[in-house]
Amino acid sequence: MTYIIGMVSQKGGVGKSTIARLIAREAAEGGLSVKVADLDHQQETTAKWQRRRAANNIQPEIRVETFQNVRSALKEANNFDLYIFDGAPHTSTDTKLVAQNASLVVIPTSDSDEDLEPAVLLAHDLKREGISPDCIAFALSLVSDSKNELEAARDYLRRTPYQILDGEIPFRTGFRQALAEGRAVTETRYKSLVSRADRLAQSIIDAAASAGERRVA
Amino acid sequence: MAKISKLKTGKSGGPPPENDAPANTDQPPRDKMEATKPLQFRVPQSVFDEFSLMAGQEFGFSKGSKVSLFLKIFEEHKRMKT
Repeated sequence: MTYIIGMVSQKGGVGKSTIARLIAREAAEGGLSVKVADLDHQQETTAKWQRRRAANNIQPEIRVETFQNVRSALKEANNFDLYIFDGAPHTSTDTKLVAQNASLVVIPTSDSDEDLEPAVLLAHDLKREGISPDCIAFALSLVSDSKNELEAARDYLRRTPYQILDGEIPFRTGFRQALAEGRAVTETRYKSLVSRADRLAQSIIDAAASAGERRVA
Repeated sequence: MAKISKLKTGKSGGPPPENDAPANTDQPPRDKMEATKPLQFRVPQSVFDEFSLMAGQEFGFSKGSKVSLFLKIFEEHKRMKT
């Protein structure tokens, strides 16, 4: 069975690619065959990240390909254990198509009001299009250091019918440097930060597995 | 300046209701959108006012609502003809 995870958002810079790379790395490290379909074919950020990773000989190797068309990507998805869509930095019919085919849709958001609201609006839009709220999950990403802000963001999201994933990716210069070198955020030396990102990765993998099982049933 | 973050107990307001969500998943991807051209014509003031109000009520009182209403009517017109 192929698990498909769609990383989508209504705006750019919320951490879609960071989380897509994180999940891809963890899955590949665990022995799954995994591929990332980079739908931002104008920027190709994840495809470029993969090239830096290969140039720096960082293991495990992660397959990434840029696609202009979701349907083309879907045709090959069944060849992998895990297929991750790294969405474009806006919402469109492609977002809907990804969501309709995904085991789990992950909407990253920071803990700021400016990111939380569009994230919830996108979730509502997908729900209206027939995507089950059980298959839609918020991931807190690029969050501030304030525990109050983080808890307030979780409280805000708890008032919606969608899942809220454990863990989070804090905003850190070190993480940016790691990504610039072709690493995932769990491939850095900041142990406490890595454990928070690791918890998020585990939460996404668990949620995808549960959502996949529900689909099969 | 005093740090007041410890006094904060929550985000301002609650999450937006489902009815507020725009149908962005019905929009074509930005890079696949067709180029646009202006379509200009004059209508009586009363028609303009009524059309503007309807567009605002259906698509929000923001830029582009009249275009959205016009396109919706155009699509409906084509559908009725076939």
